[in-house]
Amino acid sequence: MDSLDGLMAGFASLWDPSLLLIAVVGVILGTLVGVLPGIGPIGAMALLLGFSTQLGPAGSLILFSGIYYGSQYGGSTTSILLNIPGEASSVVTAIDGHQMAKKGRAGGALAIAALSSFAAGTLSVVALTFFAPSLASVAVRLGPPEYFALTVAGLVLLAFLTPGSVVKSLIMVGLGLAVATIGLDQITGQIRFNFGSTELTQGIAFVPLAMGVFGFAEVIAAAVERWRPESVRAPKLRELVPTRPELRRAAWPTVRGSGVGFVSGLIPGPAAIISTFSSYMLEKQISRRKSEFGKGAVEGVAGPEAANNAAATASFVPLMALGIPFAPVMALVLSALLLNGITPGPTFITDHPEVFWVVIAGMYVANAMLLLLNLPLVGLFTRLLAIPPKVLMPCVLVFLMVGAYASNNSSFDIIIMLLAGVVGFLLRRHGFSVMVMVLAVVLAPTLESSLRQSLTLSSGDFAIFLTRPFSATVFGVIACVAVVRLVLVVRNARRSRSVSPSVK
Amino acid sequence: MRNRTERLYAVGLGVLAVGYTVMATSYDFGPLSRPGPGFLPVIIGVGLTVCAVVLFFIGGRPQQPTNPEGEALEGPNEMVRVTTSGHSAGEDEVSAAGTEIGPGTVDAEGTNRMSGEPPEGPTSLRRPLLVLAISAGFVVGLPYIGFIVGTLLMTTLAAKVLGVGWWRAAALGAGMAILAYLVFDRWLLVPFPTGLIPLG
Repeated sequence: MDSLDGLMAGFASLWDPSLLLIAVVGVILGTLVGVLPGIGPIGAMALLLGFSTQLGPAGSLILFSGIYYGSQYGGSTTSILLNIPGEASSVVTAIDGHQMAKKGRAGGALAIAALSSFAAGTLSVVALTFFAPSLASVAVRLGPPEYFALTVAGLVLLAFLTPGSVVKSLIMVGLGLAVATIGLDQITGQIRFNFGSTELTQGIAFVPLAMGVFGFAEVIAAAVERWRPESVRAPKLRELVPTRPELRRAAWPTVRGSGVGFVSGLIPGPAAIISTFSSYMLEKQISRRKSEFGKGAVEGVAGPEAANNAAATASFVPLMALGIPFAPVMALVLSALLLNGITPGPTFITDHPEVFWVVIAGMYVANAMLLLLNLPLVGLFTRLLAIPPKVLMPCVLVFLMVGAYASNNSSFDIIIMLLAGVVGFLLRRHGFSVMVMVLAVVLAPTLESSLRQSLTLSSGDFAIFLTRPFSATVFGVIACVAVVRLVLVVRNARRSRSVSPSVK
Repeated sequence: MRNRTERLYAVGLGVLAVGYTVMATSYDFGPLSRPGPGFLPVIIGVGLTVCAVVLFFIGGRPQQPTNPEGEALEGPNEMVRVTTSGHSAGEDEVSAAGTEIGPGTVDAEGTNRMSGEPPEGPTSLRRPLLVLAISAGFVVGLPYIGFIVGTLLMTTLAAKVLGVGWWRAAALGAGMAILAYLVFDRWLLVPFPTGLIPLG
């Protein structure tokens, strides 16, 4: 099907009250979790994963993309008004956004963030519309060695580029893979690591696992922390109109940010961090007003905000065209599809055009909805910051219990959820990234089958990964990143030892 | 202090990794030309063991987060603290300019707003353990008291433990029980054990 025809058909099927309602719920929910402390977009998706069969494949994806986009808006709101980046993607926004707010341009910063997010979101959905199908048609030719290279890249690059300790990230990759090997071996049917339990022969279900590490862990965290309410003055509607110079200064950074973001969303690694930091550095490099950066430069808000939205959209491309999620958020989107009996891969778009195009149409609509809803409602969202976790978390707990139970109608999954939550809480508290682990759990089946199939193809010769140009290139990139990161680790360690031996 | 907990984690992980590897060797490793179900688990187990050893001896030092060009990122101009500890950043912390992104404050794609340090005092372990106990109680009690009463009790108790007064906690519990009944039982038709109140 031609892309334009497909898109038209997508808009036609989106014209369904229940799907539109799902889109509205998604963007509002996303904004809420972006603004509120505790549960983030992944947590919200994990909570709702239990109901994805009821929502259907298109409904789940529209809901999830709405949540993902919405959380970026919500995250930038707290970044600008409070200097609290709720999500990793809005860390950079806080730098200049909050400075603008302190100069009395909170409204302008919010509006610029919203407008550049909308522009970038829309530009990158257009790019996705035409890019994903053509990438998929190329991807059909990829074999097991290429898939192995891509899954390894997804895991290793995320582990090496995620801020924090590399060893800890690698441990989380290993732990995730180990968890995923519990249960039936997909090739031989051998039952592994079930400790004699019948429940474990099916493996550890992903839904309760994700709910535990992203949801229940937050409930426990809320019980540990103290909370002080924030008093924020929400800007009035009138103040939300950006000035003409602000708009002019935001235009090109938005376009450049969209480009930078889209590219970093396509490749493996922590796209939210890479896209926003690269865009910020780029804007600062080429700006004639370098000294304004860090003191409320409009470009420092527009660029990164555009970049994170473009990256969010682009991260759907590897999932839809290759069937491989590179971002932890996409791992949840993938499992929503799997729960609905759809295995995304190069043939996803041709096999399920009705799902693909309606989701794309949903993305266009979600972006527009966010712009229309969020600017007028920014006052309401900031007031929600006054909801204390002691009220919020018991409600989240109910959703967790119900969701974990509903995914399989068994109490066993609730127990898995609780255990995963405790383990996740303990791990995160000591600097282990559970995001990396969750992505490893999801990528493990592809990793294992492609590795074993490749070796069978080559009669046990590992050279197969280096003789095929595509996988050789990918492994080359992985090796470069790993070497650079390790050199930096060693250098930093030396420097910190010589400068200040008491790094806490 | 930090080092000791880290070593404790390393030891725990090491034990886990060795146990996993030993179990993995009981499955067919297969020749390289036809790897069996034990092939990848053995690799994972060995890798995990190595990582645990590295963590024990070298430690997972918190590094400066690096920007994509690999330089240590130190905030564009001045240094500032962005606390991600709940929403508890005090005025002093918010007022400075620039950003220092502390390790582990926000995960990649982050949902993470957990604080680095637990609050002092003897209550720091009591509340999370109580929340855990209430949740476990819900699972155990579910077949007997049913979903509706279970939700009511769990929400009320959890809110109370987290610091909400009795009356408001009970009101929240009742509200959630009604909401959960309407949404999950009536609308989404989740087949819960009904227990004490045979609704649905």
